[in-house]
This record gives sequence, C-alpha cells and structure tokens, in this order.
Amino acid sequence: MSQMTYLTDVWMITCVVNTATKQADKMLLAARDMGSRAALGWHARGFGARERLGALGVAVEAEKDIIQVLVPSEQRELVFEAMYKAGDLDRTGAGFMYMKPVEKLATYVPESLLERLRADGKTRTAK
Amino acid sequence: MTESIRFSDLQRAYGASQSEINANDVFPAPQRDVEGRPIPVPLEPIKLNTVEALRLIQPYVSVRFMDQIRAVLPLAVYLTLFQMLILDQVVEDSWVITGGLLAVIVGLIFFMEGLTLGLMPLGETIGSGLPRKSPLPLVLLVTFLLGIGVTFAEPAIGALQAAGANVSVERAPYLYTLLNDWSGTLVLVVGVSVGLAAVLGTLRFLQGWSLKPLIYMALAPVLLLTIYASTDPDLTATLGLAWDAGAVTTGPVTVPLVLSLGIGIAVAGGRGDSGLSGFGIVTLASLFPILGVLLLAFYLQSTVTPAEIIEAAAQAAKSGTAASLAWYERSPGVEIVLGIRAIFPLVVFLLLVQRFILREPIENKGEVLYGIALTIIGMCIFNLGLTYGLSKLGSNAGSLVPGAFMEIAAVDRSPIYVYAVGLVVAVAFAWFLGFGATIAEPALNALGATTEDLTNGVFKKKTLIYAVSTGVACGIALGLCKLIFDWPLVWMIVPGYLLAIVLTLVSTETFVNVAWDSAGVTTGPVTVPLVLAMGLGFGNATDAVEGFGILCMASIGPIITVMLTGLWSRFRLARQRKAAGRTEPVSTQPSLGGAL
Repeated sequence: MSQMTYLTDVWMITCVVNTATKQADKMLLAARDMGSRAALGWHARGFGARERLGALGVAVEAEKDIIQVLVPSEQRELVFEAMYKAGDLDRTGAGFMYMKPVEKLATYVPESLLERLRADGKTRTAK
Repeated sequence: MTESIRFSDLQRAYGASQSEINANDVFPAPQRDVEGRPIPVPLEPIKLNTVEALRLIQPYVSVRFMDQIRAVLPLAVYLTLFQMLILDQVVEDSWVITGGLLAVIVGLIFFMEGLTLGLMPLGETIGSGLPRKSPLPLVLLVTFLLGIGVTFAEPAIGALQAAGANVSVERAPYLYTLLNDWSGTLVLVVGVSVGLAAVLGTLRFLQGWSLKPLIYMALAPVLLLTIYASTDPDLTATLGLAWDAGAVTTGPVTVPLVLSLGIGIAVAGGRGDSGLSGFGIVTLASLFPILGVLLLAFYLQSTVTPAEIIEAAAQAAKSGTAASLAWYERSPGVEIVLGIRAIFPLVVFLLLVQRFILREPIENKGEVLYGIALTIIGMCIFNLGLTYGLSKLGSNAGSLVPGAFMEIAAVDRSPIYVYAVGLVVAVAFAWFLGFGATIAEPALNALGATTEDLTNGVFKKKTLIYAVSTGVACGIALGLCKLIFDWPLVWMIVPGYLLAIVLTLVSTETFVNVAWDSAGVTTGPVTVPLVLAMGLGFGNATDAVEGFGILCMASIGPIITVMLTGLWSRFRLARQRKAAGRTEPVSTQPSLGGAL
C-alpha cells in the first residue's frame, strides 16, 4: 500500500443561515474569493429564536441552509470575516457561524504537487 | 527584501478590532434542586428594539415582495407600454389600476405566506398521517372533499365570477346565467370535478396505471359532448367557459395541497416516490371540470329556456337599479365576503379532519392560525386587486387592441394601422403577452427541474420552459384569432386535442406526463385573470358573442409543443446514433427507452 498523506492545520467553518434570503450563495462566493476550495451545504430546519420572538418569530425562517467550508489555518480569520460580512450576519435573525479545528484531512494529493512539496522540504512524517 | 503588511491585517492578527464574550456569561445555566438535579430553564422571550425589529423584518418582507413584483410588474409594464407606444392611447384610470396592482402584489404576498405557514403544514400532516391511520375509502373521501375545498380557495376562480358581469344576456343566455345566477353551482361543479380527478389520480399512483388510457377515457366524452353542444346555438356559447374552467382550476392552492395528499397515500401504499407519481392529478384536474361544466350546461338547457333567463335578467336589472345594494353586495364589501367564503370551508374542513380523523393536536398552533388569518386577509386584498387592477387592466387592453385594425368607438383615429398590419400587431401582442407571462411563472421553473431529473438531462430545463412558453404564446394568439374572425371554438379544440391524442400515442410515458401537466401548471393567479379579462374586453370591442376560449387554447398549445419537442429530441438522438455507426435500433437501449 502506498503511503498516506494527511493535510494538517485545517479549520472548518460552519454557517447556519436562512434559505429564503439566499445568504448561503453569497457567503460561499466570499469564501471562494478568500481562497477556500472545498465547500458543502445542506438544508435543515432551525429551532430557537423563532419560538422566543413571539409574533416577530415568523420573520426568522425555519428553513435553513447549512454550509461548511474547509480552510487552511492561516486564512481562517480572513475567510470567517469575509463570510460574516457577505452573509450580513450582523443583522437581527440572520443566522450564526462558528469554526473549529480539524485534526487531519485526507484526500487524493496529486503526485506532481507531492514532489514539489517534498523538494521544498514541506512534507514531514506523521507523528 | 522588504515585505509589506497592511496595517488592518496586523491589527486583526493582534485581535485589536475584535472583542470576545465568554459564552458562559450569555447562556442561562439551569439551577439545581435539593437533590442536585438540574431544573429546566424557562424560555425567556427576546426583546427587540425598533431598529432591530425592522432589520429583522426587512429581508423577510423584501424577498416576498420581489417574488410577486417579478410576477406582476413585467406584464403590467408590457400592457401599459403597448397601449401608449403602439396604440397611442392614454391608460385610463391609471391610478386606480396602479393601486389595484399593488393590492394584487400585497394580497399575493399575504396569501402565499399564509399558505406556507397555515394551510400547507395542515395539508402535509394530513397527507402523511391519514393514509397510515384510515382505510382507503375514507382517505379517498377526504381527497374528494379536499378537491372541492381547494377549488373554492383558488384565487383565480374569483376571476370567472367577475367575468360574468360583462356577458350579454340576450346573445348568450346560458353563459350569462351560468356566470351569474348559477355561479355558486358552477364553482361547486368544478370543485366536484377536481375532487373526482384527485381521487382518480391518487388511485393511479397506488395502482401504477399509465396516464395514457386515462387521458383517452377522459377526453372521449369531453370531445363528444363538445361536438354535440356545438350543434346547439344556445349551448355553443358556453363551450369557451367550460374549456377555460379547466385551466383556471389548477393553481397555487390546488396543486400542492392535492399533491401532498396524493403522494402521502402513494408512499403509505408502498408505492414510493417513483418520480412520476406527482404527475397526472393536474392533468385530470384540468380535464374533468370541462366535463362537469358541460354537463351543468346540458342540465340548465333541460330546465330553463333562454327566454326565461332573459326575462329574469331584465327583472333583476330593473329591481337592481331601484334598490341600492347592501354593503356586502357592493365593492369593496363583496370582495371581502368572497375572500372569506373562499378560504373558510377549506380551513374548517382541514381542521375537522385533523381533529376527528387524525385525532392529533395541531403543531405550532399559533403559527398555523397566523397563517390562516394571513391567507384570508391576502385573499380579500387579492380580490380587491383583481377587480381594480388585473381585470381592469386586462379588459382595458383587450378593448383597445382591436383599434389597431378596426374601427371602434373607444379609440380615436381607429383603425390606427392598415387592416393587415393592425392584425399582425394585435396577434403579435397576444403572442408576446403569452410568452412573457409564461416564461416568468415560477411553477414552470419547478416543472422544468423535475423534467430534467426524470429524463436524465436529455430534456433540458430551458428547453421545456421555451417549449411551454411557445405553446402558450401560440395558443393565446390563436385564441385571439378566434375572437377576431369569430371562428367556432369547436373547430379549434377538436383538431387540437385529436393531434394531442395522436402525439400521446407515439410519445413515451414520461413525456405524456410532463406535457399534459405543463398545461395546468403554467396558468397562475396573475395570468389567468389578466388573460380572461383581456379576452372578454376584446370580445366586447369586436362584438363577439363571448370572450372565453383563450385560456383553453393556452392549455392545448404547450401539450402539443412539449410532446413535439420530446419526439424531436428522440429523433435527433436516434439519428446521432446512426451517424455514429451504431446499427442496433434505439429502442433496445434501455437507458434511452426509459428516459424518453
């Protein structure tokens, strides 16, 4: 079996936003512009603020989009902030987002890239 | 080598522009009782100040507002510009119409939002719960009653009733009495037809029947009765109404509510979502009302004579002018009463089913009630907008367009153009109206996406949208020609549907489903009143007996174009295969045979 290569220093940013306002699309674009290259999204139902707002609660949609992007640790603040602004999350009831470290990530790493990184001394054996 | 860093990046790196709060200081922590068990924290309400509340509501409102603006504005602008630029006329009562259109937009916002919050959740619980709990006959009975309820709640139905006022009693007595004295019965008959269609469509899901034989069986009596009715001069005038009724019924209330119940039954019966299971009900729900209305017309003919109707109408007109109408018979009272009467039976029915058959409490009671209230308010506002906005705009445009090619009193210097040129202008006007109104219809977009899925991408969403829009456009243009040249409707409908039957025979199941459903799906609450009113206005101006029949031409158009497009794409694929040197016949290829 060939040797497995892991990526380390990866962070995951997760955003929960309203579906109807199409915030998720804008936030994904912002993340892409800031160098994120992997994203996924799904639909969900939200609970929380809706029940506590009384009559105003209908304005917080139960239909939510959840999007997750993976970013290198050095860009996490940049991407996080860009997505926050793109999604207008400073608006009441717009949603929330969080990030957390990912221990390691594995995927197909092109041989050419691996060679180049090896030559630069950027690979190391896993602990 | 020097390296530069933006100051803001540096600041951010140091965290100077950020602040933090410890979540432990924000979230409530449960107290513990004497035994150390945590006591549940009461849910404290959130208080917002005005600015916060506005910022919360603004996107909520603007998304919905834009949705309706997109449906109404292009049509309104098109009609206005056409009147001003091509016909060189001032739009009469432009402020009233603008207010009316605004009422349509606001009404639709309320109505659609109420539908998603109130009626849809109720319908979905019933759709998923009822088939599991109750025997099939009871479920089918509920489906049938639901079909009646949703027909009354359909916003476009009001347009049919509004159209009644413009019909001349002397020239089309049966049509007049159907739309005036019998208008309640008319809607009930249409509702019963939709109910029957829903039952049959549901049985189809359960048994996995093909749609083709159902179409033939529904069409045969409809076409025969149509031909029979066309031999009687008094009944001929009701044909347009009967065929239009089919197009009116399938709107934003009927389609999702009946479908959710039908699909729930199919799933509970072990027939999962096969992709095609959603189709068919819409088709049957637009064919059965034709039969229902025709039968009602026959019944009327056997009970009253035209002379009696004219007599009664004259009497009513006399007494109507003498005594002023009560507040609920006058605008705007009548619209509000109509709105409440349309929604209330459906709501009561859904609540009763929920309470006594499902025996389950309603989830989110407050929200459902809020939704129901919104639906009723929306329906009332929409009805007002219908009277002052859509119907007025449509009939204005309809009564002015003939001025392009013939002399009418309402238009100065008419005919504006030479006869041939004016005719082309009028028909082109109808064509583009149909094309523009259809291409913007959100339901069509959804149908397109489903079709692309079903055919594994062979039939593109865009292709379907263009095929349907072209079909509707040609249909409306043809319907206008019917009014101009006074062609009998039967000569257009019978050949049209015969052609559709032939195409159905040679098309595959998927395309038959998509094509026949596309007709019902495309006629929404904005298009129907506008086209109906335009047709009636046009009919009055050209002195035609009645202005119905445009909508049903707009239904048959897309059926034919979609099936033709389907056949064409299959033919092209087969030819490509031949060119590529494959010798085996296309039909032996399972992937394609299944897809097309």
